[in-house]
Amino acid sequence: MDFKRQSMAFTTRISLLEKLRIGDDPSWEEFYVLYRPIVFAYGHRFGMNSLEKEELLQQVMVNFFKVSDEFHYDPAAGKFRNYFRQIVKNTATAIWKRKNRGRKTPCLPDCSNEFEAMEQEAWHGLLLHLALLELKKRVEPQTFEAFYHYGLQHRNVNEVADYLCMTPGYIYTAKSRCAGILRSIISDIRKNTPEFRL
Amino acid sequence: MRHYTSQELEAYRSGAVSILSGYCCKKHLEHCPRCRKILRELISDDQLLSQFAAGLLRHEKAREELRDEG
Repeated sequence: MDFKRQSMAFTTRISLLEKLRIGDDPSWEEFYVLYRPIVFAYGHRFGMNSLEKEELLQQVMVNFFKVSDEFHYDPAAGKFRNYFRQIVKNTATAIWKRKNRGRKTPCLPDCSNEFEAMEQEAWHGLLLHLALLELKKRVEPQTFEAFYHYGLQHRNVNEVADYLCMTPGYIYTAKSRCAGILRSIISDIRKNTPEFRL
Repeated sequence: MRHYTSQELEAYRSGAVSILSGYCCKKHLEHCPRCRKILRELISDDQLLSQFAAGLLRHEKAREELRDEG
């Protein structure tokens, strides 16, 4: 029972990510949670209060989806990161200017260690999820399911075999195949984002 | 000499074989570099997957905490 519930929870998470890619409403929640720390860190640097930070977050999401209605896996995540940073910075500047008419835009200090760490952590989480999503796209659904339960969740092979109506041999092969593909996806990510670590 | 398949070695590695089968496999591995190599690759896969799963879990927790705070 618990096993089935956990399986369903995972499926929901994956489908949320897929919805994120196609721009469906439920993905906004995921997107919000994933990027909230980054956007808030920028708001903090502009001296915004919590209400203003929330406004910044909403405006960034609106601006992001205005210019990009698709959100595909891209090993060149560093480029996307810079692109997203720019959207946040421009939005924060626009909000600041609107509220401080006539005043000069503050000169932002260099990124603090705290900001860098926060941003790095959020990006890292995003890359892990995108790597898993990419793997899911590259293999058959039943292979992915077998891999997820046995390879990632470390469940007993016979339990997984019964649950998915597969042989243990199929599950072993699925794990090995998916591990190889995942290794290659991670390697692609590292080529463009050398600081990426598991 | 009959070599073990990758599936058989995975079963051995994960402890999903009988005591006797496990013993035979262990003895075989002592003398077979080819099967030891496959076993090493399987162990390496496990290390990668453990790190990956731990990373996902850490981020899930962090995101849930943020959700709760929000």
